[in-house]
Formats: sequence, C-alpha cells, structure tokens
Amino acid sequence: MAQLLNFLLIYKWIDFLEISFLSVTIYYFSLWLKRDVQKNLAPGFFTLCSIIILSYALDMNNISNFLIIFMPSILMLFILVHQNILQKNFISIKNIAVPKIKNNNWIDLFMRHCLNLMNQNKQITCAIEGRDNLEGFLINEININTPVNKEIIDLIVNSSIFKENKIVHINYQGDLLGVNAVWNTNNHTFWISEEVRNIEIWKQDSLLFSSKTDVLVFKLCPKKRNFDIIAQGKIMENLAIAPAVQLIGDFIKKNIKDLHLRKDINEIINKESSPKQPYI
Amino acid sequence: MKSSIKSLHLNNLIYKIIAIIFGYSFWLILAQHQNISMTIDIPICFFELDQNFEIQSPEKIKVTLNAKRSEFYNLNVFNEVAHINLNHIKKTGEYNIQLLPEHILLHNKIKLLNYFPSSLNIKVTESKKNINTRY
Repeated sequence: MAQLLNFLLIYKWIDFLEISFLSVTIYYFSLWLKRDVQKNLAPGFFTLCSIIILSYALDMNNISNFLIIFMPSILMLFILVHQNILQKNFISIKNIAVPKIKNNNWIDLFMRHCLNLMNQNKQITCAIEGRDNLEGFLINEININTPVNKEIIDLIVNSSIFKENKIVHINYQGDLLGVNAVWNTNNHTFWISEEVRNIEIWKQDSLLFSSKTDVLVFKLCPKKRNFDIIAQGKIMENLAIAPAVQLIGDFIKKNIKDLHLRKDINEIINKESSPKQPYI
Repeated sequence: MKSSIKSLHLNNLIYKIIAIIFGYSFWLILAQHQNISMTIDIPICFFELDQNFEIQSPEKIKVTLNAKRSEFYNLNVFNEVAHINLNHIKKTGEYNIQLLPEHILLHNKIKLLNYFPSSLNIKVTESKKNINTRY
C-alpha cells in the first residue's frame, strides 16, 4: 500500500483531500453538464480533460499550456452552451415537489372524455403541466384544482362559462388546475422566428413555453379528427388519435419517472403502438 | 438501508470513476512540480569501526527534506541513510557524536531542512566474538 501511494506521489493525507476536492468538482460539473439532454456536453468535457492530460503526458507543451491557460474560458463556454437549462430554470424557478401519484390512469380517463367531446364537435385545447411550475405563465380565468373526473369535465365543458378557444390547465398528476386559461405573453415577439410568426397564436405561445418548460400542449380538432401536439419546442401536427394518445400517455409517464424530461420525443412519436383500450 | 447505500455508490458509477481519474491526473499535473517538505525516518549506518568493537546507538534519525514532489520518488529519497565514520574510535566507552549535514548524502536537488537529534550518544563495547576467542 505504502509503495503504491509512493508510486502515485501521494505522501500526505492532505493530498487525498486535494484529489477528492478536484474529483468531486469534476463529478458534479459533469453531472450538471449531463442534465442538458438537448446537447450532451459531458462527453465533450471529458474529451477536453483527456486532451489536456494526454498533451501533458506526451510533452506537447504548447498545446497543454494553451489548454490550461484557456481552461477557465473553455469552462465558461460549456456553461454558456448549457444556458438553455439555466434559462429554463430562470424562467420557471420553482419545480413542483415530488408528489405521490394519486391515479396512474387519469390520462386514459381524461383522453376518453376528450374524444367524447370531439364526437360532440367540441374543440378542446389542453396544457399538461410537467414538473416546471407554470404559475404566472398560464393564467387561469377559473381556478378549479380538483382531480380529473368525468363529472367535472362534463359539467365544465357543457357550461356556458367554458370557452373552446382557451386552455384547459392540467398537471401531470391528474389535477384539473383551471379552465379558460391563457398564456401570459408579455411582448415576446422578438423571441419568435419569422417562420413561427405565420402560424396560429396558440401555437406560437405554446412553442415558446414548451421550449423553456416541460409543458405539453395539445389541441383536438373535431373537423379533422386529429391532434396537434406541442412539446419541447416542437410541433407535431395532424397526429392520428392512437399515436397521439400514446404520445401523451408516454409523456405523462416519463414525467413521473424522470426529473428532467428532455429525452428525444421523436422516439416516442415513432413508436406506433395502439392504445390498450378503445377510446371511442 | 443497505440497498440504498449500494445504489448511492452505483449511481453514475462511470462518471465517478472518470472524475476520480481526471481529479488525480489534474492534481498530479499541478502538484508534481511543487516543492514540498517531508519529515522521514532514515537509518544510521556506522562504518570503519574497528572489528573488535560493538556499538549501541539509536537506529534512526528524523530528517526534514524539501524538494519537488516528483524528485522524492525519482531520487528514491526513502532509501537514504546517514553515514557516520567511526575510524577515530580506538577504545571502548561512551561517545557523543555531532551529526552534520555531510553525514546525510543527498542529491543536490534535495534540500536538508532539519534533522533530529543533532548529536548521537553511542556506547562502544568490546565485541563478544572477540571475548569468546580470547578465553
């Protein structure tokens, strides 16, 4: 043991402390980089570290000196590239505390009611809030905050206060938070690219908020009998009922499982599996 | 409880291993050229003592050395010995020998900062082998 420590040039207990400090710093920084699933920066960071160590070991003094001198700037670049996460956290600082899941099947129940409403030629737009709290961003005209059930949906949708062009606000636990909700958009036109400006307003707003939070927004079109879904800053238009329901179900389940749902939603879309139960 | 501790260790295991490797490598890059001071025990070697005598003395002395971290390993500092010439001792008795930096032969890249004790009390007696052969 003493020989091994001697070989590793570790002579004092304080050396262990220093190595632990560096290791823990690198570990947590790489974990933080790993959280940005849109661009996985952790392998890039490890590659940079490897290049520094290799260039030092192979006596490539110019490269190693260059990298060591510019290491703070390179780390800043990693942090800047990771800013998407920072920006998202900045917008939605509060994350909802991990709750007990009250009812795993609420989404099946809710989707069945939505399809029933579609059969009644009623249009419905729904925002499913993930772990990022939308308080302040999605303003409910009527706050409800009750678990989703058939009676309450029928009561609301058939009442005169329900406005089809506004949003039904639900969270991923299956609580109906409010109806007639609207996005709180304060002059964000400068955020929007030219091509997005030509699409419908609800899509523009949903794109903005879904790119910065983990909300999923969908709209049922009774005429076309299909879904428009917006999540993670992406629009999926004219989805057939079965894959759309599957996609929304998977979104909810993923959100329950993962703290940071940023996995490639396209994988979910590409899965063509039929729902377990008939919805109509 | 055990399983939660186990899962704590196994979570992101690859990241942990990579972090330890990089942590050590960066530490080595930064630390190997730093001057460090270390206190080690080195043995004392007496030489040129008359064969008829035996000596009783401390076996080791403490020396404080200063050098680059890498030199401690490269120059094998831990195998250093203090060499003391006893050719002036011609009869039995107790002697006080002053330790000098010259007694510790070090590479010029290594500095001797301190040593303890600064003098050695040694007791010189006649060799037992010698006594047996006389009788």
